[in-house]
Amino acid sequence: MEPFLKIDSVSKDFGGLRAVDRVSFDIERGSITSIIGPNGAGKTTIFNLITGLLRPSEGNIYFKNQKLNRLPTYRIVSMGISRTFQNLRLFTNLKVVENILVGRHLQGRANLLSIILRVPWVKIEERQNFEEAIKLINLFTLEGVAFSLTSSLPFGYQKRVAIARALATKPELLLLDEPAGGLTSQEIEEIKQVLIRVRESGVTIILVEHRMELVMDVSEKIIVLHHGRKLAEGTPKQIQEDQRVIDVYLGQI
Amino acid sequence: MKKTQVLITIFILILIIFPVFVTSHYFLSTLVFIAINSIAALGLFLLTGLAGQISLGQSAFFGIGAYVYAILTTKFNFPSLLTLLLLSPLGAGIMAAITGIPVLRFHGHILAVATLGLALVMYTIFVGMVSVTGGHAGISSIPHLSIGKVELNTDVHYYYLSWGLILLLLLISQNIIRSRVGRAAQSIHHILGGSEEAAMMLGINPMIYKLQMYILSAMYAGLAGGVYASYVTFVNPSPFNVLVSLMILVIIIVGGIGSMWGAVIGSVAVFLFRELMRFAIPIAFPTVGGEFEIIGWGILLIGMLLLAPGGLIQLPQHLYQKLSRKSRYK
Repeated sequence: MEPFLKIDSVSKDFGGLRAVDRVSFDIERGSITSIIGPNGAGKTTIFNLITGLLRPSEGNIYFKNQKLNRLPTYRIVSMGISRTFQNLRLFTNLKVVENILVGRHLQGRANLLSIILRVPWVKIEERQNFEEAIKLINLFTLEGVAFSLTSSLPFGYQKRVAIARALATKPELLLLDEPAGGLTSQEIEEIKQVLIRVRESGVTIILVEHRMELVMDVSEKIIVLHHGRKLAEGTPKQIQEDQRVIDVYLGQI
Repeated sequence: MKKTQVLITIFILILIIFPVFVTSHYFLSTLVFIAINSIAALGLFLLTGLAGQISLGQSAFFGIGAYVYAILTTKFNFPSLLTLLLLSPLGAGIMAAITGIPVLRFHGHILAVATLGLALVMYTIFVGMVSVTGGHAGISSIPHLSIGKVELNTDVHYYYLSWGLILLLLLISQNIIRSRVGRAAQSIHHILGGSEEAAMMLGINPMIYKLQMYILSAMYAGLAGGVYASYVTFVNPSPFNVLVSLMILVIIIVGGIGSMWGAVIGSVAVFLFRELMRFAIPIAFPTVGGEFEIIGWGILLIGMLLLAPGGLIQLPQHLYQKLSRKSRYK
């Protein structure tokens, strides 16, 4: 059987700089994988390549046997991939619940004409949307801030909104870019519980993360990138004992 | 929520009873012109306030709406009501649909310049296509709007028509803001805090919503043009020059770009400002002509952006915050 997500010898050049160099790996359905490595190793670039924000210079990316290389981002999302950004990119002009409602865009059918004419089903759809959004808000314990603007929230809350918004698209594959960055140990513990719950609901997860307490606890597989190349791939235990990884990355901590 | 409902009710009541007390032709026709500007500004609010895309092409759509009404009713005897409510907006909307796909690929000022180009081209067509538009001489004896057998031929009629349309369009705008489409549009508003990349990551194709808001804003402007032509009963190119596009943009910025009410408040404020300039400039600089107005626009725009970036609608809140901050330091 073909893998769920297949990165096949993918490279990305920015002018003369090769940010990602012939990286290959497979992701199994239902797994949690972490991508780690020093700054500038090409971790976020891999996410941008998978989601179509960047195009691979060489190589192919397959999701459920379909080639993603040339598809626009919103098409890739509709196939079941969602992500968060390292700098979150919440819609700061909208409330928390509205951010999540935007995440439910693909689940809705209301178009401009039916909205202007106030067709009855639009109202029903809107109510269902709202109920589903509230479910996510409860899951991420955001009840107290549901009607606040996201710009007014503490960072830890904003991170949870970002994950909830990405999950609102009902993805099969969720890419999280540094979900634990800037959080306290207690907040990391909360994120850990969230990730485990999300995975239990059947969503495959890939993390880009620096915080080893999260990476080592939740991942089944770790991929180490260094200068755009894949340095190692294995279970957390294998990675912790890998001398090359200790030399370039883990040893520095 | 309660407070805004009370304010809206008061607003509607004042609108209804106003002509009972004020019967002067000057005041009523002024209010009709303010309403016509508000309709066009409300459309631009949907494009610029919601979706964050700047257009300086609204004068083109305004003109298309007016000429569609003028030509179809005078030369082809089309029914005026159908033409005004459907064909004027449709004509402008079709032009927006054709120009939207190439133009909306641009961002920021380049989009503004591209739409400005459209306004210039359309103005040139209004002036130059003499066989269709009558050139500078324009088209006269345009029939007023008739609803059934009733011809709307007084200022009071047009007052109720134009402000009634505004209430309807405000209601439609409100529905759009709180809908799937409205939220998608707001999610790409990069100036106010949206992000096209984040929106795409949620499955939104930004182009679709830019285009829809662009077409809708053009249809509002087209409707405004139709009302204008049927009220004034004469069109020539001068009310559709490029400065009108600028004025509509100034209206929504002065009124408050974050709220649909900013379009109405801004129209009133900009009208008052313009009257003030007409009165003040000849006294201060007796030798200059009307071109000096544009300096006044610039001062108004910069002043608003400095003193109340959220526009007049947020001015009370803005002043309150400033005052309470000052008193805290004492």
